[in-house]
Parts: sequence; C-alpha cells; structure tokens
Amino acid sequence: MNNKKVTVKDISKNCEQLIKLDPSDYVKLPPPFDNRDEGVVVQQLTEAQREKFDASLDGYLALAQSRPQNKKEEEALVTTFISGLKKLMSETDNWTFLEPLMLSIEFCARCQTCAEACPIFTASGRQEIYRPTYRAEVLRRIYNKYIKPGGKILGKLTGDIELNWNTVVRLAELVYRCTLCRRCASVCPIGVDNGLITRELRKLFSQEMGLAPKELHELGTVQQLRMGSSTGMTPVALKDIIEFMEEEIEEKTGKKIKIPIDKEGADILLIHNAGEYLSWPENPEAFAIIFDAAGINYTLSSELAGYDAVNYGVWYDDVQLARVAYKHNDVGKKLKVKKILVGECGHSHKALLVVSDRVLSSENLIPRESTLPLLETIVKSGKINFEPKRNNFPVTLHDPCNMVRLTGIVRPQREILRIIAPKFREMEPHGAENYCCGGGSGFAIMQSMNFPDWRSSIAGRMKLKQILDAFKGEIDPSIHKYVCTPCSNCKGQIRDLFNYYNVWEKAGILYGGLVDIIVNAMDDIKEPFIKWEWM
Amino acid sequence: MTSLQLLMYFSVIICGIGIVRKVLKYVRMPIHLRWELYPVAHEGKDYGGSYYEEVEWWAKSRKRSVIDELKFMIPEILFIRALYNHNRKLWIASFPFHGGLYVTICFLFLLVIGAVIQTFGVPVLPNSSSWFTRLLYSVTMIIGPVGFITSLLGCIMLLFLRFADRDLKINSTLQDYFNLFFITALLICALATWFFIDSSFTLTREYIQSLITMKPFLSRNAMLKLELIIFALFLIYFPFTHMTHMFAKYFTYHKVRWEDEPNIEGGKIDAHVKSALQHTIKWNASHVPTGKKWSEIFKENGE
Repeated sequence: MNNKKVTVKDISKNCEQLIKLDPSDYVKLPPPFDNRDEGVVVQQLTEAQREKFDASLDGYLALAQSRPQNKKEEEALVTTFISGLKKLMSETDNWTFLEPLMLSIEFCARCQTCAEACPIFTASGRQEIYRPTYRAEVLRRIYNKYIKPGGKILGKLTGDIELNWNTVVRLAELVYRCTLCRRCASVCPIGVDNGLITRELRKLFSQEMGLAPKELHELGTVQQLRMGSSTGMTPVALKDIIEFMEEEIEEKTGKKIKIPIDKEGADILLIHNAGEYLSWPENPEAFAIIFDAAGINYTLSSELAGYDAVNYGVWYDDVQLARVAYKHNDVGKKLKVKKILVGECGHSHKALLVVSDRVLSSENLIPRESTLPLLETIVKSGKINFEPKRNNFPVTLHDPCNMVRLTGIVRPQREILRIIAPKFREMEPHGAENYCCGGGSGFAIMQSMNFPDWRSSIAGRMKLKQILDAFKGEIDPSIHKYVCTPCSNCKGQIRDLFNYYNVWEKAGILYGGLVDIIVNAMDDIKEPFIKWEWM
Repeated sequence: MTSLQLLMYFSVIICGIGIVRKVLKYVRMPIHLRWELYPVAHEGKDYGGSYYEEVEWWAKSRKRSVIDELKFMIPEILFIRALYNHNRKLWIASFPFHGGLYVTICFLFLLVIGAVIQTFGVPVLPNSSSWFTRLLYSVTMIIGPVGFITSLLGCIMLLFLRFADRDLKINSTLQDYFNLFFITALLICALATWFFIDSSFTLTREYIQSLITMKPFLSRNAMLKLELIIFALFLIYFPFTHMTHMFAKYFTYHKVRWEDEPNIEGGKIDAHVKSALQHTIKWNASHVPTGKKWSEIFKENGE
C-alpha cells in the first residue's frame, strides 16, 4: 500500500502491513548527520516475532500484541473494545476525562492545522497514520457508527469505517506512536485535543482489555506499587545507593554531606525519579550538594513509592494514576513534611502537581511543588557563590513538555541558566512551543523489540535537529557542548538518541540535568562536576 | 398562517432546543481531572508560565485576569488567530467565511430589530421620520450583501481547498462537503433574492414581522420561498453538526485548556471530587477493582 494514500478506512483492511517506512522520506538532519539515514537498514522483526505478534501497522512493535488465534478470539477483541468504548463515553465510568474527550470527539473540523505541529508526523515524512487526526478520526468514526443511535446509516455521512480485529489491533499499536506532547492541541483553533484522545484510547485498552506496554504496567505502575519503584529498586537498595552517593560526593567535591532520609518533620520531602539513582546518580548528588549549601531542611524517603516520583498512570490508566498519586501524598503525610518537592522529572510534575489534584480528595493531598522555582530562589539568594566562567561552554536547554506546556513552568530554569551559563542559547522553538524529545508518554523506557529504533529515528528526530541547529557553527566535536535536560525520561531518550546517531563522537554534545550544571558553577567545588565523557 | 411560517417556527424551535441541549450537556458534565495547556490566558504570562513557577504557590494569591482572557479571546473569536498563526492557507478562506457569517448574523439581528419596530407601526424605510429607522434601513441594506458575498467567497474557497488540497481531501468526510455545499446553496439563494427581488430587504423584514405577529405572509415569490426553506432546513440541521463549535469553544478553552483551579480543602472542587470518587468502577481489566468505589482503590496494588 502507498504510505501517502492510506486513509482512515484502511486501518481495518486485511493486509500484511499498513505502511512501510522508508528513511529517505524522513526530515533531513543538519550536518554531520545529513546522510545518516541513507542506506541504513532498519531493524526488522524476526520471523518468530512476526509470527507471534501483530506488526501489521508499520512493522514496529511497542505494545507487541499477540495475533488472535481463531475467529472467537477475533470477535472477542471487537466485543471487548466496544464494551470499553461505551464506558469511555459514560459519565460514571469516565468521569475523569469525559468532558475534554467528548469535546474533542464532537467538534474537530478536520482542518489539519494540528498536523504540522506534530514532530512525529513531520519527522516521518508526513506518514498518514501518524497524522494527529488519524487515530482520533478512527475513534470518532467507530463511535459515530457503532455507539450513536442511527450510526449505521448516518455513519456513511460522518465517515465510514469497519470495526474488525484488524482495526482494534492496529489502533492498540497506533496509540503508542504519539508521545502525548499535546503540541497539536496547542495550535488547534477550536481546542480539540488529539493527544487526549490518544491517551483515552490507551486507557480503554488498559482498563477494559488489559492491554498496555509491559514497561508501563507490569514493570511500571504495578512494580512501583509492589516494590517501591518502577526500576525494581527496593528500599534497602536505595539506602545502599545513598551511601554510595555520599562517598562519591566526598570524592568529587571534598564535601562530607549526610543525605537525610526518612527524617520526620522535615520541611520538604524531595522525590526524584528513581531512574536518576541508577543511571545518573550525579543528579541526586547535585541536589544534595545544593540543598546542603543552601541549608534546606529536607528529606528523602525510603517508603514504598516514596523514592520514585514516576507515575506512569498519567499516560495510560486512571486507576493506576490514582493509586500511585495516593502513595506519593501518603508518604509525605506520614513524614509530616510541609510539602513534596518533585525532582527533575517532567511527567511527575504533570502527574503529581496537576492531574492527580482531582483524583484524590483534599484530605489525601499535601502541597506539591516543582524544584525549579526553589532552585531559582537559591541561585538568586546569594547563599551560594557561583563562578559562571566554569560553564564557559555552549549550552542549550531542552524543555520537557510536561514541565512547560503541560504544567506552565518555563521561566525559572531559564533564569538560572542566564546566571550560571554565559553561553546559554535557546533552541527554536522553545518554552511552551517546544518539541518533545521523542521519549514522552513512556517511550523513553519502552524497549520492546525494534521500537527503540523507531523512537530514535522518528520520534526524537525533530529534537535532534533542534539541538544541532542550536549549536550551528560549533558542531566540531572538540568543542564540548551541553544540552541541559531537567527530566529523567528526556535524558533517557536523549541518551538513546545520541547513541543511535553517535552524537558525542561526531558533534561533542553531552546532556545532563539542571542541578549538574548549577553545581559545576559553584566556586567552592574544586574539580568540574560535569565529566566530559560519554557514559 | 402559511406552511412556510410553520416550518420556520419549527426550525427555530429545533435549532434553539438543539443548541441549548448541547450546551447543557457540557454544563452538566461531571468534574474532570485537570488537563490544562499553557499559556493559560488569565495567568497573564504569554510565554506559558503558571502559578507553579512560584515557591509555595498555594500561600500566594493567584492571578485570574479577565482582561488577559479577553486580550486572547477577542482576536481569536474575531480573526481566528490560531488559524492565522498556524495554518495561513486555510485562514485565507476561513477568515472571510467566518467574518462574513458574523456580518450576516448581525444583519439578521438588525432585520429582527427592524421587524419588531414595524410591529409597533413604525415603518423601516429610507423616508421614515425617525433617524434611527432610516439608519437601520441603510445599515441593514449594506451589511446584508457584504455578509453574503464575503462568506460565500470564503465558503467557495473552503470547498476548493477541500477538493484540491491533498491533506484536506483525504481527511474530509462526506459531511464536511455537505455542510459547505449546504451553506453555499443558502448564500447563493440569499444573494439571488437580494439581487433580483428584495434589494432593500423590505420583503424579508415583512416576513419576519409576520412571524412575530403570527399573521399570514402572503408573498408568492418562489425565490424568496426557496431561500426561506433552505434557511429553515439549515437551522434544523445546524445543532446536530460540529458547526456548533462556536459554542464548544467556550468549553474547550474555559473548562479544559485554561481550567487550572487547584483542589483546596473545603472548596467547590473538593466537594465535586468527593462526590465523583463515590462512583463504582465498572472497567473490566484484571488490575481494576471492578465493583468497588473510586475512593476504595487507593490501598491496592493492582496486581
């Protein structure tokens, strides 16, 4: 099938694969990556994988759903989907998002203004199935035809579609081709939110059909609620890591810092994304150094979920969202802190500060805030002396969608960088108009089969282009450059993206957190905190 | 009373009920989780900042500026700014279309005012004794055709784009074309009636007057009748389409995109949340505690 001629109706077609991606269609990257995709053999699924899973959407597997084995299973897929769809449209079953969902279903004018705003649609060379309206229109047509009265007849007018197992299986995979960055929604003249429609479809698949990527569900929210963290890290392991961090801080800075843990009555409970402890311990170390120097009365927690700020429920499941949010607030209450502070983790900002605000009643909530305003206050307070020349290298800032467009925290991180990084420059577009890193909505942690290839070559492409453009004229790898990335998942995605394109070797660009570069500028730290090496 | 008058009463009632029903549907919807998108206009931070940029934001007063909302809304409503900024090609067609419709709606409003005045025995004519009715007569006569022509041009351009632009073409439904053809037909009829029969809209005003007074309207003019029939049918059809987005926009902006009210103890939001948490969960996946209330799920792990 010609990729560019695929229509909404085609999702139900019985064919081997709806589209086949060709890297020569993708948006061109600036030098030295302008020819990177020519002749690249995209990782293909093995025969065994193709046999077992349904890859009939685009040949990539994020959800990796098994094919139905017989007619009965095919019919069951459709029946369960319809049952879930009815709940999605019900006031009692979907009170959490019914109003925004219905508004987006009912009022889209199909003007396609959203298409150009979507980094995945654009980067992929405008593949129809990645168009923001595509999956929304599939849902709209199914709803119009199979749920609304008279739909079988009126459905011809509002756009026909056949609901069969192909439709369900492909749609389940297709909802994991959008990072929920909601850039599409921000440009819609009517206020339709195709990102929300995608999120709600994910919810239908999860809450009714039990279908969700294992990294988000079994290894994500379920593991977090059972073991304390989606990383699998237990409270005992956390305490070991904290000891290791204290030693490493002393080694790196000469400072002897005791990192407070489970300190009842502290002013602040600081919760990091637990991925930081395992992959980027320098980030929580930097927090410890700054908070110690500024005399902040805070504590970490070793309670279940109290040391992992992630809440993957925000991407796919309201029930899991509520459960994790409850745990986070409960830990704060038990420690009798005045507030919870969310570390450098974008989606936790959105989940803990914004979305979970109404999934718990007030007696289960305690005040929550971002670390960024507090960091800005500390940097401007004069409590710490900075030597900005230590950061005398080109710096640009990646804006995590969840912090800027979805939570409205745009200014503090910039104020800080303007003080401590003399060569700071913005990437374009930035702030609330930023591009997603390509790892949003769980993609950064999803490692299913050949999905990471798709994530790097398509989902993260516009971000890589932006980063390279921000350092235009300084791409020479001998000039060390820094992408300040105040989000754990974004860092994971940028790490994979840079690995995929060999960015460190070819362009000398490193990524790291905001606190890392703050500590790097502290004048009482002898050695540079940022290590210019690819880990 | 003629059948044409009955049709018009019927269509106005259906249209009114349809719109009110649609608006009420959204007014009565349960509280939803926050899903705002920044910039939130009433925060007054064009760059997209929020109260979350403040340390201990809950202890400070939050800005909620109606003027900042209006600064965003007025250009958006009048000039469709989002389309201008992000889809200029479509804006070139959409702006005259919507702008023309706004003018046409004003024209209809003036016609109704004129008809009401006439029911009190004051004729709306160029030689009326009152300056107001003379002005009303002239303005109505000017803005009517301006509205028809502008929106017709926009409508034809939109139709052309739906047929010629590849992206729009493959993503349009039959209804999208039908809506535009319907409006085109209505506007052509309105223009033809104005041009050939009723250049001063005296006849149309008399028709509206007859609707107000419930007295028979005796004109036998076929073109005027056709225009009125198409208009009546459009009124019946309109509330059941996505063309009601003019009303939806209030909800998409004020109740979703800009809805940033935090849940404070003892507040209205808290009361709504507490009530919503009493709903029983009916979802069926194995990790979902089907049959329990939302308020009872928190201590489970969902395994």
